[in-house]
Amino acid sequence: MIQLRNIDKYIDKRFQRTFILKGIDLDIEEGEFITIMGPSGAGKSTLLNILGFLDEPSEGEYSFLGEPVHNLSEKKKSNYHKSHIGFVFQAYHLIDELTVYENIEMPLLYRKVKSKQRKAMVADILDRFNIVAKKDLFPPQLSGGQQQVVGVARAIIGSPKLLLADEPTGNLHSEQSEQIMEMFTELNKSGVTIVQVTHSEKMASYGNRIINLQDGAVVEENPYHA
Amino acid sequence: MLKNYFKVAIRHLSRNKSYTIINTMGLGIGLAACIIIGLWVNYQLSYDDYHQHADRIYRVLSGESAATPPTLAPVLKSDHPGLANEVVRFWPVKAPSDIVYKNKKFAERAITFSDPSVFEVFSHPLVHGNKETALTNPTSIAISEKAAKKYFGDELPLGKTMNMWGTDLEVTAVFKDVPQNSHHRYDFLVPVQLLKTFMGNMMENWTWAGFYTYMLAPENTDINRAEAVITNLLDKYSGEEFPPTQLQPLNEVYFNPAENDIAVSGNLSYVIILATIAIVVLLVACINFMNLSTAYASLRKKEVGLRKTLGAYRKQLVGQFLGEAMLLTVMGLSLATLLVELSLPFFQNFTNTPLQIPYDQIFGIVGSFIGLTLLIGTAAGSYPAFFLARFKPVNSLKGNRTSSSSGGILRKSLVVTQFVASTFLIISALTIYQQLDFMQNKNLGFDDEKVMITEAGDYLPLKEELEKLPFIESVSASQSVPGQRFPFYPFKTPDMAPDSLPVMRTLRVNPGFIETLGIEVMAGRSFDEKISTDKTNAFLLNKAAADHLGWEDAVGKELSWYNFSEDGTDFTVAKQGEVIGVVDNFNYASLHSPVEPLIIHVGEGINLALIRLQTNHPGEAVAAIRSTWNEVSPGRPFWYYFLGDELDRQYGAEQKLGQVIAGLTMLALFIACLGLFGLNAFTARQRTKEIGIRKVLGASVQHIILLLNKDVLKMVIISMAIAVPVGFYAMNSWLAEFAYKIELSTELFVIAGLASLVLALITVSFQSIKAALMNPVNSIRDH
Repeated sequence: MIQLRNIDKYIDKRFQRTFILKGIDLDIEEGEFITIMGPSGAGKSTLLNILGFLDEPSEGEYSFLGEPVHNLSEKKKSNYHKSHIGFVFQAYHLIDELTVYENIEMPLLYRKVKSKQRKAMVADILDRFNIVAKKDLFPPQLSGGQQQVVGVARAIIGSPKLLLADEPTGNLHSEQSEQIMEMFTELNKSGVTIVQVTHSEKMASYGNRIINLQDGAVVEENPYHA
Repeated sequence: MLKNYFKVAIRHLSRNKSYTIINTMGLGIGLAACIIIGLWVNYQLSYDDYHQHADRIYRVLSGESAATPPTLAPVLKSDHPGLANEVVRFWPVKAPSDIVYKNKKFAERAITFSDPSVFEVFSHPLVHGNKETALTNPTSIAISEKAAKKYFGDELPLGKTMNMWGTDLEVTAVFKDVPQNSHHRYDFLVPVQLLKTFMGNMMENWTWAGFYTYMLAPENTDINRAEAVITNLLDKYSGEEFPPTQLQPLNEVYFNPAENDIAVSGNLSYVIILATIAIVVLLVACINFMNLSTAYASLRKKEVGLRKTLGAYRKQLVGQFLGEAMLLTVMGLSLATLLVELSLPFFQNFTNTPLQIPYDQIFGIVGSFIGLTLLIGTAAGSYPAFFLARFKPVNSLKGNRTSSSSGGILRKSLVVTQFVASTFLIISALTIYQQLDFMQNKNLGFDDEKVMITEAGDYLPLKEELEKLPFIESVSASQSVPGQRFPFYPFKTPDMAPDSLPVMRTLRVNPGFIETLGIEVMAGRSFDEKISTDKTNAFLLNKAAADHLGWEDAVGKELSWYNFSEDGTDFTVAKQGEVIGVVDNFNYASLHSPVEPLIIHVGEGINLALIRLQTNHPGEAVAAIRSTWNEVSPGRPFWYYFLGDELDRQYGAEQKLGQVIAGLTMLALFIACLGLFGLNAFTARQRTKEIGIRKVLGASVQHIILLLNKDVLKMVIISMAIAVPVGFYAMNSWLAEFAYKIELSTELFVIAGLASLVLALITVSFQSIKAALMNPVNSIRDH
């Protein structure tokens, strides 16, 4: 599904070039559940952003479903965002002005899903995640864990092929975290490729492959199942 | 999708109430001012355009003068039938005249002698009568609907007989009231042919210019050629050399009054000034909008980033935020419409014009409503929209806190622009007020306080009776009074070439005129009732006349004064005598122009009485004078006015301009301060954490206030540096229109600058003090 070849990401400052990522080679197959780990500043989030087309590599090649990403137009990228990629953020990033229902519905609006079908899809997911009772509340009225459940619901309502999660449980306590991770596992079983960034080994253990980053380079792949 | 945008917009607006209120109010007030001025400007520009042939009607000007001989129109028609389809003359009756129908009698001011062709040239639809035959009979009269109602009520006016100047006139037509946006106004049209019975041979006179001539030219007329033909006609028939004729298009008449004009006129430069200021006010309001939206945009960065990760195109995002701007604009426009609707009666009264929203043109209104929304929404909303849509999701999702410096330079220069505009308006308003004050309080060379003007009527008995009243200081009479136009007459001095006959403004008075008005006699003496030669052989000159003639000591110099000969065809010497005195240059015209040379002599044709009162209760005096008048001239209507009021009215246009500019200045300042307030509230909110940390580290309240106010201080000072030279230049060119004017003082600029500075500081200090007094623990814990 994804091939990264010799990816560099750097920032030029005057006479100094600071590398965030250096020489990353990575292949991700469909149906994998990958965890990216590493200390602060290792480049985990940057790698995830590059995978999700939110950031561009400075050097190297990235092909997504066999298509070179640097050739993609802004519009094509937006289309992939609509149909193939879902995001979950540490800070949830729900729109405060919209209710739970409306937040979950939003991706469908951009995909121009018909109103009737939209209602059915949202109702389905509200039911699946057990948050029907909360559908008319606004994000600030929910706990962090509940907000993240909404965030996941929003990310997957468009049935993406790839789910990118940047420390999805970073702001949550353990019970909530486990709930989210179980959702991820379910999703993965149904065929969604997942890439998550986390600091927690416990969360990492839900995945089936671990990539360890240090100073912008892959130091170890899958240290547990070597 | 639209519903989603709309929901987000509404919820965003209702969450940030101060932002919404400031934007809607600023825009609403600015737009309301603009719409009202727009209506007024539109009205001013609509003068005379209601005539069907407006583009082919020309007024004949002889040189710079609108007055033409009575003979011109008939000769033009008979000698050059192809030059004009129709020609029409007007001779407006200057003094109020009585018109009588049975027991109804009113002193009418809007009486005009004219030709039957008036209904061909101008579009005055007839309610009754036939436009071909109306006014063809010399003893006919055409009246307006208003006049018909006044005299005949619901009776049919046609065929009724009205009496004017002792002549019975038959009503042959009733025309629709002349609209107010017309440069000439009349309620009664009387045939010029009738005038012959009063004027006799004068009507054949080529040098008596008292008529206003208009022609309806055929299409595609060569105007230059027509002008040459008319000049040639005038020269040929009069045997004299006339200045070149100008054909003034009808739509230029209102804004370009000619010499000897008596038509209603407007001042195009005031129209332009007001239109410009209105646009400036709107600009200030739009800048608020831009500034606040851009500042508050940083609150929406997260949303933008998120929408992008969900696959929103940039186009869609721009559309969303432009749409929000439009929504705010619609709110502002609705407020503006409401404000206009509420304040319109006041402005109708203030401008004395029938301003109204043209509800009959509903498509035009809806169209301009949509047009304005799109225009202002795009103008004010496009920068914030593109600014927002440009955010990179990576950056905007990273954290809520972003530096407020983005767009900072632009925002600051926009605030500077607002304050340049406001300071400039303050300078203008102050200058106009000072100039007005100067004109109203300038020593005119005579004392216009407590001088009442009324009709002289049966003058000598009236004077005798009036002088018995205790509160009357003196009574005199004259042909014209200050504020009116003094006529030109030919004169000659012995040392002039025999064939030259220059003209000078002339005033006929009764002895006592100089004393009643308190005009200073600089040399010689004034007229004395006891010296009989003063009536027949004496002249007074004003200082300007003596200077003009080059006489250092004018007293004793000889002068002859000319008037029309008996048969009215030429000028002859009417009075020969010597100059008995020189009076000070009193300002008998408005201060727009310098005092012109003037000859004063005692003579016939006196029609106005001047009464100087000696009382603090003018009401009682007027009542007493009225009853005296009714005793002396029973049955004649009594009218009067106070000279001082009438003279102040000359500056009515400036007075109104001053008031409107003052009002607009306050509006602009208010809107600018509103924007500054919102902006500062936002910055203070953004900087609460910084302020908290500074306070923890030991910064004092004063220090924090200074920190927050410093930026504003800088911006206001920069705007003053721009506004002062611009204001100086603009005001100097405005003052150049006046012959008597104030000097622009440094104080004026200092006051204007201080005013905007103080206002700006007060505005921002609210927020700054609030921020500075806040408990630092709260602000730090929050973040």
